[in-house]
Amino acid sequence: MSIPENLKYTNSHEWLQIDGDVATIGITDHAQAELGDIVYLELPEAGRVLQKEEVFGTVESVKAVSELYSPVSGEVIETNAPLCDATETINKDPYNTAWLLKVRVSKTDELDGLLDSKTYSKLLEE
Amino acid sequence: MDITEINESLLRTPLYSVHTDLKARITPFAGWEMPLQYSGILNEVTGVREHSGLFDVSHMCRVRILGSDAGDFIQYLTSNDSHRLTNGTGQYSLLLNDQGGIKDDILQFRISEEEYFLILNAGNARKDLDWILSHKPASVSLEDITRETAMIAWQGPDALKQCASLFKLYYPPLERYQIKKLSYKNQNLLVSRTGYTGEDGCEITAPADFALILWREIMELGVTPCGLGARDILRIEAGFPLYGHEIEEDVFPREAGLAWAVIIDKGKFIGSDAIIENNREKAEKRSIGILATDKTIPRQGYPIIADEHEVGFVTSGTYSPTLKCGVGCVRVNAPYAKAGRTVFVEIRGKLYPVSTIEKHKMLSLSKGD
Repeated sequence: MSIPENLKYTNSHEWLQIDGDVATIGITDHAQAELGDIVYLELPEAGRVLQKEEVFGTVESVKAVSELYSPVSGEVIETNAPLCDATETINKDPYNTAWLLKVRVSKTDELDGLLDSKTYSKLLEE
Repeated sequence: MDITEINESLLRTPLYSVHTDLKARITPFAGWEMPLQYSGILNEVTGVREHSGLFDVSHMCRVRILGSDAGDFIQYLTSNDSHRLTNGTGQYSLLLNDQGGIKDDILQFRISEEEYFLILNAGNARKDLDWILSHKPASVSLEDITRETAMIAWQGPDALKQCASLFKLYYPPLERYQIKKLSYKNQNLLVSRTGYTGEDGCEITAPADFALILWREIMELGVTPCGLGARDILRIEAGFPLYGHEIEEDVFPREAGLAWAVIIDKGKFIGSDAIIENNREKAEKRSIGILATDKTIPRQGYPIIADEHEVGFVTSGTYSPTLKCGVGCVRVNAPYAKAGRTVFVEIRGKLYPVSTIEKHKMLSLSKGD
């Protein structure tokens, strides 16, 4: 199970890449493996303002529906809309090409609550 | 996402070790630890539609009904006309309750005049067995062979040819719904040309301690191992009902499109009076298939909206790897159960259009018929 060291994680299996006040968000390798073949993705419009833990979209595998929760508060500045027509990319490359959205973080202290790769790795072992 | 905890009291089929060897994802189902998927559900569904797949269906309940009155008892117990069966043939049938609702859907085979073989849904096994025992006359005996045997479904356009080759039989080895006793490597197998995927194929009941060998021999022919995930999608694509979805104790057969399996003029049977009474009234609900017209996926329980009213709900729904769109089955007020209409499915508060289609025609769309 791949868990890149340069990313931050949540216990609901999202990953974040932090660059200044912009967070790029996706779902982890573990999340895609648990879901199985992903066949549907719904993302928000750019410009939408999200609160921490608000539902921002939906990902569906053949057998399961899973809501996506925003790990941070802030405005959606960009989404990976082409991914909605190539959802199998989330299974193949969850950390790179299959990023879901970029958020301008409004409450940077929320970043302190995120997990590092070691803590997330331990979470998966439990 | 929650990791499912496996309860230790769950039953395991004789093929359990093959599932763990193949790194299947295991899921609890109807009291059994069953494989949900092996290589991935999409790959498994495609394997069955294009070539062949094999499924461990040992969790399904297998019972022999024995005795000189077995035939008359089956005729009274179930809704289809078992007197039409000759030795070595079977049919789809229903167990009805006294109100005419569906207790379970089953396969029934006539092995001989004094021996019938029933296959019941795993989730209904205890309920069905109690029902059968409470109705059977003393002259009929029931033998549950579920735990001493395994059952393998072998399905797909290549399955019967492979089956004929493995067992060294002429092709086709069986007619549809035929069942044969077969001796293979000194083991007694029961092979029927049946299945629940919409593809041709067979189902094999084998002694529990021979199941692993048989499974491996079939896999070596290049057959794709398939889990319950693929099995469910294959039956939805084919428009077949499943207990707990399209059929339940309070659903009449004609509401589920199963009136063809209820033969009223064969004489009195359990539920027949209630069915005759119900047939005098117009059916309120009907079942029909749906196809999504965009990328959305209908799921069980989603409301169906037409003319700005809720007119029913989705009984089964999934993404179809074969049709490359969302498909499903709905139970709606009868006037809306006509093919070729547009109705709406409500998903997370939004309405999406879906077109209605006769259930058995969904799969033929992919074959260009």
